[in-house]
Amino acid sequence: MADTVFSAAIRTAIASLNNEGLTHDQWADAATSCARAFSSLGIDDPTVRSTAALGALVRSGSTPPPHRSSVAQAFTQAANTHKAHRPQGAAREEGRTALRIATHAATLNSRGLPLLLLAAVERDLASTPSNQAATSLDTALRQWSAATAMIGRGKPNLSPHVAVAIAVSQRAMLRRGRELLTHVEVNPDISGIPDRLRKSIDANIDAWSRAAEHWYDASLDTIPREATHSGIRLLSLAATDLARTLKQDHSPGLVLDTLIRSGFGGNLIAGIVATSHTQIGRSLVTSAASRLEMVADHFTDQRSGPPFRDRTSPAKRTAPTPAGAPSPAIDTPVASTTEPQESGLGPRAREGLDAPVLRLSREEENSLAQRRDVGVLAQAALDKVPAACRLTAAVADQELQSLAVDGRAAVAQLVASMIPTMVATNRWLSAPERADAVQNAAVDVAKAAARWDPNKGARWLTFAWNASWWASTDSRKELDVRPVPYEFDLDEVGTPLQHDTPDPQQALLGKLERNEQRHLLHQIRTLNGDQIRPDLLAVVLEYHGLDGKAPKTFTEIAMEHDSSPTTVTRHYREAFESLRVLFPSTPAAEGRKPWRRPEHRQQRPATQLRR
Amino acid sequence: METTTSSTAVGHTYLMLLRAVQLMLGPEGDDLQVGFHLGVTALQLRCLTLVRDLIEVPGCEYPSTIEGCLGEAAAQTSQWDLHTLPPEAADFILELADLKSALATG
Repeated sequence: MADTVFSAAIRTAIASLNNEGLTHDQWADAATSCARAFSSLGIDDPTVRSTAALGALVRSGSTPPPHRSSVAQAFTQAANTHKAHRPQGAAREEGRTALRIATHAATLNSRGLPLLLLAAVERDLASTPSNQAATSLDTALRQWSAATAMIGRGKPNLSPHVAVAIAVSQRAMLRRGRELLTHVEVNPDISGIPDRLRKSIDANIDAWSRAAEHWYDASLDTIPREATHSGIRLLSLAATDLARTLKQDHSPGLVLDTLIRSGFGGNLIAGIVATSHTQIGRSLVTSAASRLEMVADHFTDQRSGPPFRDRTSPAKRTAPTPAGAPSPAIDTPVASTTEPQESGLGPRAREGLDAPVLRLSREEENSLAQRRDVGVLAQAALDKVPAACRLTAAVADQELQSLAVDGRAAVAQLVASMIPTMVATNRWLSAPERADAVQNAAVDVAKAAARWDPNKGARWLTFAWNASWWASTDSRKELDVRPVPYEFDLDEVGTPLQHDTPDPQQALLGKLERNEQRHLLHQIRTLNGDQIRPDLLAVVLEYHGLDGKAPKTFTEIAMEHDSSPTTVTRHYREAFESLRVLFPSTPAAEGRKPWRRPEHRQQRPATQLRR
Repeated sequence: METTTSSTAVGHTYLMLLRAVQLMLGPEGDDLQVGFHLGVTALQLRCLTLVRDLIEVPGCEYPSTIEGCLGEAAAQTSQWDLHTLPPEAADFILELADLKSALATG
């Protein structure tokens, strides 16, 4: 190791970190020595000075420890080094790094307040702010999938060093999925078969395990030369995020749903990327992954509500969602509600607001309304509202607290029970648009939960739907009248603009075509099996933005699929021909307003006379 | 590129992590949590970005347990020259120590 001013300090700090760590006294001594060394070398660093001052807070006594740690000795030794030994900027960074590692070593022996203090010091000493913000599992999985795809782009053969890492990560995600399957109940309305899913996951785990062993053997004979490849850095960051988010204690159903919706972090993509170009056709990994994709596809259908429900109640889960972690998506089996202003609940403790999605009976609805009212009263008493204080004079504060929390949980439960309806009302929208519409509706449902009175006779779902349907419709209207961008490129718009006013016949034909397309696109979403070639369907979905992304032009799709626009256009036509055969257009599908849901209209019996 | 004690130590650390990844495929790995698997894999990839000149490490003996591999990998980090490595090398050292500690404490 090259001898620099603080190299000995770094070395001893790492050694302490990997052994027993540092005691508080030893750390305080090291921080003071570091500050002295900086002062002696003429380096001005306020963070190091304040760290040395904080040492007094965690030190157990006022005198230095009898046996100085090797880290403190190394800092003292650095203080005696000649100033010109190394540029000040570099020496400052080294010194801070040494103190940071020493601080981390001290956290190993800390609990409670000192631990928080040391963690804050360590964060301050980091030269670059680390990205510790917890991403959601969904984001982490998408990042992993994107990083995997990027690293394999344009490379016929991936290095076995990277391939083995991808294999172990995919295997880990699949294992997690298999574990979670034992903790959830599958929605009986879902067309997928759990046993097939389980067997398919097992087959994938087995295939990835064998492939990983093979790549490990190959990696021993290969020198890694990809150090400069930024893709590996991206992949490693994505893996770090995945490890972090999968450790969080979310609902098993929610995690499993997210894993499946992401195709286990792009399991098939990972298989194609990791497999040698010449082996793809015979690869166990890719064939197992594509089979899993087909089986898992049935479990991504949210039309009948969430596909998984936890076997264990949320109260039995060990730890709450960590602070700062993103709240679960609204169309998931666990919901958190925003508190309505009318309820008089302030922005205080929000504990206990996670609620499972349940179908409520009338008695349960009434019971929840009573709990809500009691909670509102308790909260008012806690807020020292005179009338509420008089009514609850005999109740202890602690009990009032628990009643207030229980009331908020009841409101959350009411909102959660409405989620499947909100999702169903907006189910033909693409995923991002649906999330917006559901969120709009959820705000009104939360307000409705505060003012619903069961004594007036209306059931909760009826009341809530009447309070929120317009919000969903409003969102859809906004989508339908989206303004055309001021500056646009004809190629980006997707459909050619018509400059001349069409004659009535053209307009009628255009309208019929649009109605038919709308009908077919609706039917596409109801496809259950492999009734159409996936590559053809992909073109339709991408062109119309039904894959959850922005609509693309044929040229853009062609570029992504390494094909020509003519071929893509042909695929689009073939897809529509297949769809026309599968779903012949019905008169009922024509002439409908775009925001009116087709299946909400009941078919008039054929025998009934039309007016 | 010149081979130094530090670059050899980085290479040694990487080989230990690679070995740990391979051991996780066996029965020992089945007892560990999935988050731990991903953590070790992430560290292996991060170490791969630090490896510049992996050479034959003389007398390199692979421990037979994951804990042994992580311990050996962590021990090698004290030989690293942090001023010749990118800034994220320090983060790597801290996370490796945390992972090793988490495995030891169960």
